[in-house]
This record gives sequence, C-alpha cells and structure tokens, in this order.
Amino acid sequence: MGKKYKNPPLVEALCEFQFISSQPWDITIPGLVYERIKDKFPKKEQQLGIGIQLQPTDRGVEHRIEPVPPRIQFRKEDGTALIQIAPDLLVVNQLKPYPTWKNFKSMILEDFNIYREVAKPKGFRRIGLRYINIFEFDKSRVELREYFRYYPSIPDDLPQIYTSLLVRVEFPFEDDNEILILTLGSMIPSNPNVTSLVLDIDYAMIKPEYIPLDSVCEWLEKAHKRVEDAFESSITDKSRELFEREDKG
Amino acid sequence: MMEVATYMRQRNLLDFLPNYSYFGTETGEIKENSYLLYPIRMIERLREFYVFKGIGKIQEFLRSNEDLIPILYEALGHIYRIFGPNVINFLELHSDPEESWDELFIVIKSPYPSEKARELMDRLGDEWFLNIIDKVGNRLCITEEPL
Repeated sequence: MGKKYKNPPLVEALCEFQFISSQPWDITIPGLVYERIKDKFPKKEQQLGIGIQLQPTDRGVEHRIEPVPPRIQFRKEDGTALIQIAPDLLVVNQLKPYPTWKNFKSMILEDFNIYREVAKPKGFRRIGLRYINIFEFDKSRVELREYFRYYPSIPDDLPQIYTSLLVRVEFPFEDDNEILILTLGSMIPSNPNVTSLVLDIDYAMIKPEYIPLDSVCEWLEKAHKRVEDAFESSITDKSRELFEREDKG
Repeated sequence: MMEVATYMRQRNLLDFLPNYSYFGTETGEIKENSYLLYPIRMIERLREFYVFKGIGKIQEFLRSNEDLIPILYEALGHIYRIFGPNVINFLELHSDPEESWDELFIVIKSPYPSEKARELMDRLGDEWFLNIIDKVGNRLCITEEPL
C-alpha cells in the first residue's frame, strides 16, 4: 500500500485496453456492453473524433479534416467515472475523487470481463495503466526543483525562464515488453492566475499478446506498483506538503 | 522491422508528432484516452492550423467553451474547400471586460482581390457558418482579410 494524501494531485486514473480482435468489429458491441453496465454507467455520450490529414499534392500541402468513427462513452450519474468503447478499445476512466486502488481495480476488472464476454477479443495489443496528476501553483513562476525530482535540466548559459515545457522519458521493463512513460509538462491553466503542470505516469505492456487475457489481474497489480513508485520518486517533500500527507502505508 | 506508426502507437507517441498522418497508416485522429486531457490536446493541436494571436487568453477561452473546439476543426475543412490551401487562418479574441464579453474571431487571410474574397466569404457563410450560428451564438465570428 502506498502513501495516502488528503489532497492528492491525481485528477484522473485510466486503464486502456487495446485488443487484437478475433473477428471484424461488430457495431452492436457498445450496445451489448451498455446493457450489462447501464445500472452503474447510465449516461451515454458520443465523443466525436476528428481526423486530421495533411497530404502533399502538386499544389502544396492540403489539409483534410474529417470525422472518424465516434467513441462511445458511458458515464456514472455523478460523472466521476466512465467507460469508453471504440473498435478494439476499452478504456476505464476514474476521475476525482479517486476511490482507492482496490476499488478502481475492481471496476477495471468488472468492465474488462464484460467487454471480454461480449466482444470475445483474441488478445491484448497493448494495456496501459495511467495516472494523471495536475499540480496547480498560484504564481506565474515555479522553481521546479523545489517540487519535483524529475524536471528538465537547463544549462546555466541558457535563459532560465521558459513558458512551456515537456519532458518525457521511457523506461523499459520486462525485456522491453513493457515500459514506464514518465511525462512532466506544462498545460493550459484553468485560469490565468495559476501555473499548471501535469505529471503523467503511464505503465504499459507494448508487445502484443505478451500477457494472456487471463493474467490481467496480476499485471494490474504490477503496473500499479510501478506507477506508484514512479510518482513517489518524482516529487519532493515540499510537494508532499502541498497535498498534506495523511499517513504511511 | 516494426512499422514506425506501430512503434509510436505502442508508446503513445503519436500525439507528440503533429503531422503523423505523413506516416500514412493512421487516420490523423487525436489519440488521447484521458477524459480530462482530450479537450486540451484538441486545443493544443489547433495551433497547427491556426495562428493564435494572444495564445494564453484564447486557450483559456476555449477551455471554458469546449463545444467550440470541434467547430474550429470543422471550420478548417470548409475554409480550405472554399478558399483553397493558400490561406492563413488566425484566431483572435476580442473582449470587453466591462461587459464580461468575449468573442473569438476566425480571421482568414487570403491572397485574393477583395471582390473575390468577399464572394468566397459569402459562400462560406451560406454553405456552413449560417447553419451553425445558433450553436455558437455570439461567441464565434468569422471574417476575411487580405494577406
């Protein structure tokens, strides 16, 4: 069990399953899944996708903006969690408040099993467990090293003030079959008086069918541990003070 | 050897390459499964197609008016269809703080003589903008200027 905080920066946790299908995508799958989950996720929405193509032509580069098949979202009544379904994709998203890992994992497994029974996928193409943390500071300039142990190192002879940043590192695990992707970046703030930074931690199995469908429970435990370790390694005690450490696990 | 697009998809790298459809195996869809970050990625990606005049305020405005984001993408399809590829599109936010009024302008900078540009602008209005004006209200306007 990891550390608990009163006001954690976690704004969203999600588990993404990309599948290898055993048959062409059946457009009735989202409806069949909805029948099984509608008591918990009654609200239906479609997220319209937008495909952006830039095509070189003899007149220069031409843009084509086209809709792509919509993604179906099923949301809880209170909006704190949702499931997204698109061809060979299942995403389980938990927004604030985060209900503990045990409960989130249980929701992931329950929804995964329903999808599996309905869609009958052949295997996993990719699985990702991702935790998105947003740090908001009531000032325009933040000394990153005070709050993070993971940040860009700017040489002294370069300007020390910058307006946006993006640092991304991939750490291989399990003989390159899995990776931890650690990203720290600036993001569009929710209001003009704050500086927002996002610490995005994504642990993923990237080799198709590296783990079988039946092993997802154990994989999730491992992934969660690695995400949690990465989070604790990336922040300083000053950050911990910001979200008021509650106890040690 | 692994396809470049496959390698990048596995690592969720596609969003970091704005023009990844050059690899020819993707639809150009914005790949973001986070519910909270999806609109932010959509806003960030608009910068490939529009010149933002006053980026911070426009981004904040769009975060508060997320329903306009798909319309700004949709606009591009109609603009390029009617004006052709040789235009530069700007986004400008006009505000009146005393009345808490903000309106986002799409400004199409085109190389055409004024009469031709006006004609194309009228066509854009007839074929697209007038159909969505109820949705956008007084939050979005579209205009044309010479390059």
